Amino acid sequence: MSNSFTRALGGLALGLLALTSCKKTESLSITAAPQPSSHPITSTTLSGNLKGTLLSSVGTYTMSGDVHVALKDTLYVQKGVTINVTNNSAFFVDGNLIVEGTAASPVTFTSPLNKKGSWGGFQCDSAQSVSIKWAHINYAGGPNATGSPRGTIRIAPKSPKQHIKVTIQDSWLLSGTDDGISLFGGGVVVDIQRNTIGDEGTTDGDAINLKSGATGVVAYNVLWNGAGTAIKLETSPTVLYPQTNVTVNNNTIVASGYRRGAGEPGRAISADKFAQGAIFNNLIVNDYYGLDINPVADVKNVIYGYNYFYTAVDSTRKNFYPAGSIGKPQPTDIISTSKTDKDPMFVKLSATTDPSQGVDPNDYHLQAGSPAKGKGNPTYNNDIGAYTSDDKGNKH
Amino acid sequence: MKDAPDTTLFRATASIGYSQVFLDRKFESFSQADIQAQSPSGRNGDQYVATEADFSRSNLKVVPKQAPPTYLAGLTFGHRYLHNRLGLLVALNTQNQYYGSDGQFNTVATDPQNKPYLVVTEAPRHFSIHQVNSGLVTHLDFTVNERNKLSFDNLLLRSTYTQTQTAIDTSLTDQRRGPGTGTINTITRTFATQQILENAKLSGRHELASRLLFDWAGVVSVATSSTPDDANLDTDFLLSPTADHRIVRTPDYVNSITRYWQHNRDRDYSGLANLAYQTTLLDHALELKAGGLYRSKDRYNMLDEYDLKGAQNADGTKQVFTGIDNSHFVVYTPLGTAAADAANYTAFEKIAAGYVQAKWELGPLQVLTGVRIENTQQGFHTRQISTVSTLPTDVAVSYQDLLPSVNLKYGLSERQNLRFSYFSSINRPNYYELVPFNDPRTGTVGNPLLRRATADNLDLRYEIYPTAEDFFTVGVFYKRIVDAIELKYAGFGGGQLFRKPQNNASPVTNAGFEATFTKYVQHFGLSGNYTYTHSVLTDSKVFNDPTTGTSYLVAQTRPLQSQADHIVNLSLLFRDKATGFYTQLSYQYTGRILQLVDYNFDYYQQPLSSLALSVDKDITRHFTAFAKLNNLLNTKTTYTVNQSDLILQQDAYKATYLLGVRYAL
Repeated sequence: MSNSFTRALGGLALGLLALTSCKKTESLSITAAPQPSSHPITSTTLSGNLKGTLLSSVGTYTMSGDVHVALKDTLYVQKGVTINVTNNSAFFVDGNLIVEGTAASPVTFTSPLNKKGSWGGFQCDSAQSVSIKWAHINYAGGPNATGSPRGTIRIAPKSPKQHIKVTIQDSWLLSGTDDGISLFGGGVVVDIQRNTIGDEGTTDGDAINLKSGATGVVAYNVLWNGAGTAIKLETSPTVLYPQTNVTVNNNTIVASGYRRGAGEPGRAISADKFAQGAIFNNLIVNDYYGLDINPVADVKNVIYGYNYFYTAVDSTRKNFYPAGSIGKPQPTDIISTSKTDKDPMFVKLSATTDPSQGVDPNDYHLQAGSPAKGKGNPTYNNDIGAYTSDDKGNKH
Repeated sequence: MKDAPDTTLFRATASIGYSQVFLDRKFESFSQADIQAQSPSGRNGDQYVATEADFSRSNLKVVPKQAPPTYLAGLTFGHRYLHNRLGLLVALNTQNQYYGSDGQFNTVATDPQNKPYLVVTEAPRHFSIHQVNSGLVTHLDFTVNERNKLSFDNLLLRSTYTQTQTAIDTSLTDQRRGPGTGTINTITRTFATQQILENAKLSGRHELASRLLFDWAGVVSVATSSTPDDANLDTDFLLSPTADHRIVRTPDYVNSITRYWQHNRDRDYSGLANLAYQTTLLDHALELKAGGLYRSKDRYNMLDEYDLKGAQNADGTKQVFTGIDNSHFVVYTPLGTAAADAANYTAFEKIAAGYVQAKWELGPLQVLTGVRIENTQQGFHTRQISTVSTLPTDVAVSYQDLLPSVNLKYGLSERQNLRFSYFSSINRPNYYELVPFNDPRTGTVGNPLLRRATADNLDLRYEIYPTAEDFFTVGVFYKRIVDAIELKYAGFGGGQLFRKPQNNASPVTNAGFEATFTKYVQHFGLSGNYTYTHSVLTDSKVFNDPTTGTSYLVAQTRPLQSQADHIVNLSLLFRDKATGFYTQLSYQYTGRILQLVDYNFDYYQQPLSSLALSVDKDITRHFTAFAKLNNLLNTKTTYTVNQSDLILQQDAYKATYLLGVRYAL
């Protein structure tokens, strides 16, 4: 080849090299739907992005659309406020939610339809903090517009690094369609005490569902007639760390687990899928299955004892510690062998369980002379169950 | 598309076949008589409150029957009219196939009590599929005069795909008390999809001057796909151990039904034009070519989902399942989800491109080089999930690429060539990979920030053609891909793993070699190819450390997803022209492929080896009989955890047999 060829080829090669280096330019524009900025609460009709205080002086509010509490904003609900929720609305909280009812003037969130699944509850997946005290939360659990079921209170951050403190105390969660309180995530620290959760779930739904590394304490709660499991502790089948580790003590759990059916029996308390926990002083009465410590829980780190088992339904007596569970009766347990043996002596306990009932007719205060008094693990409480002789117990 | 030949062409073929799957079991069919083309909100409006009476039931009743045979038929006709100026080529084809698979789809879970921390619960599943494809291909070419020619091509395809899937799913891993126990979900899923594709192309070729050639084409393509009532029924029962080590089974209970109505329409319009000029440079032939393309594509996708839950009995207990006609349901999503599901989207892609290229003949060396410039605009619009949702609803991305290339061919001798090429390319994401909707069935979420992948490619190849039929080629290649797109584990929210298509931070290097050959020795022939690819990238992977109880990142070196290390194709042929007998035995091997990068471990598809045999025999001057036997080794598609023996998924399609006859004028 001649010089001109080689020069031509050389020029060509250089030209190509120059072209390869000047390539890609990319511009990306993402549009979110325009969000009005948060406005303080000025009227009794609530919807949209809100922050500020719901006042006792106003008293009653109507929530006609979804309410969003943005990051860094706070929604504060004063005592005595009632919120009637319509249009299947829900609270979406990315900021802080503080509900400060009192025993004399609790806060009420309810639906005028008086039907399960009428509104969307509190969806706080990436909230900064949630604190609910002395509040009635009724009839939540309706599906969102994309068809996913919504628990009454749900917190599920996508990352275990997101720290969220959740305090739910002295409140009533009644008649939700799905889970009562679902708390998932390694950064979630829970304090669930002295609540009453009743009639939770239709054909499924756990009253208190803790997964994916949540930690904290669940104590002095009364859980009645839930569809699935009353208190569930699980980490995950595939993501083992961080582990769920919760102290479950002094809960009174009655008539739970029937509505989910024999295909997937509901339990009073379950530790499953690599969860850890301390399970003491619980009063487990008339439940489908009792205390289930599954072989795939982190069995070495589940400590339990001082639990009280009684049932007026003979067919469920063999399931206090269900067959195949690794849990075994402990010497400190109180286990009733028949209807007349070791009755916990509630002020009122109906003789049969009726999973279709919506309103709890019972009263779980302990009468004098109850075998549950004084038999608890003193590290947590001298008594067993939610209603205790000291002032730590449930106040409902 | 080839033009109609000068002599009249007529060919017909018909064949009948059967699948081994249906010699071993019955075909699971369902009735389509009651399937409603539109969802309840599609029929009655957005605000319509659906009840269980609005949903058909017969399509969830699985009826086993003996599968009818598969048949295929085709007709090709070609003729030239108007003194050979107008050519017509028409092909009509129909395929009515019954096929299926038997396999298992297991769940992998960690078992903290036992190393190596993995347990797999088996879940068998069966697919029965009936697919009917019909196609009409038309090609017209018209010679206007000796310098101008026009062509028209049309493709019309219609396909109906009907599938029944029955599976036993123990993926909940709930209530497990040891092997053989736990809550078990029985799943029945049926759906029928109808697709239509119409593609029309008008093109022309014009000699504007003795050295100037102009050609153009306009293409219109419209495709629709519709799946009305993809229905999935879920019931459960419990196997539990008794105190005396037996296992007892509860009756079946009604759980839920989900029903999807989905349809989409895609449109694709393109116009392109090229201009070629023949000249010389330094006394050697040079062809200069330039051209442009504009292409506009759009899609709309609609999805409406209804969830029905089993109704509670009056006493609050769960309904026992005694057949779908006796079951009662409560509609959990009475308005459907069409108004708020992000899967309802419109997406677009517009490409404007141009190129210049030069082809220079320097004796034995031919140089073809050029550069392309492509401007792309891509984006989508979805519905907003709720009035207070902060998720993006619109994304628009635009980018420009300069893609040079060079091809050198050097003739070592009359029958040997050496080729070298370099080119730069891009790979755009699909519509659905960008749209951020959460598909609960596959656990995948779209990624609006997904960028296109760009690659630099180098090839060097040697070819030899010793005779008219024999050849041998061997070559090496190298690719470097930046921002390669893979489906990877993305996060863990609300107790569920989800996956997202993502760009890789580190570039991927694929290097390898390939060899192909064909050799005939009298009546026998051997033909094959082999490709070896060494694919490598580094990525950080999330692991759990059982001793410290934390999650940590590890740099992992692995191949690119969907890249096989070895691919082998080998065919042994025997032909006897005198008796019109021809037979071919084909062997195919695909090496291990990384399917999915997930949390803690990855899923790999195991190497596949398959064997097929085909035999042709001329019966008379016009008729030929043939037989094709596929998948004689009953190759199963198997996915495993990492490179171990733990099977995640395995499907056996079994052998298929086809017998037919061909007629040629």
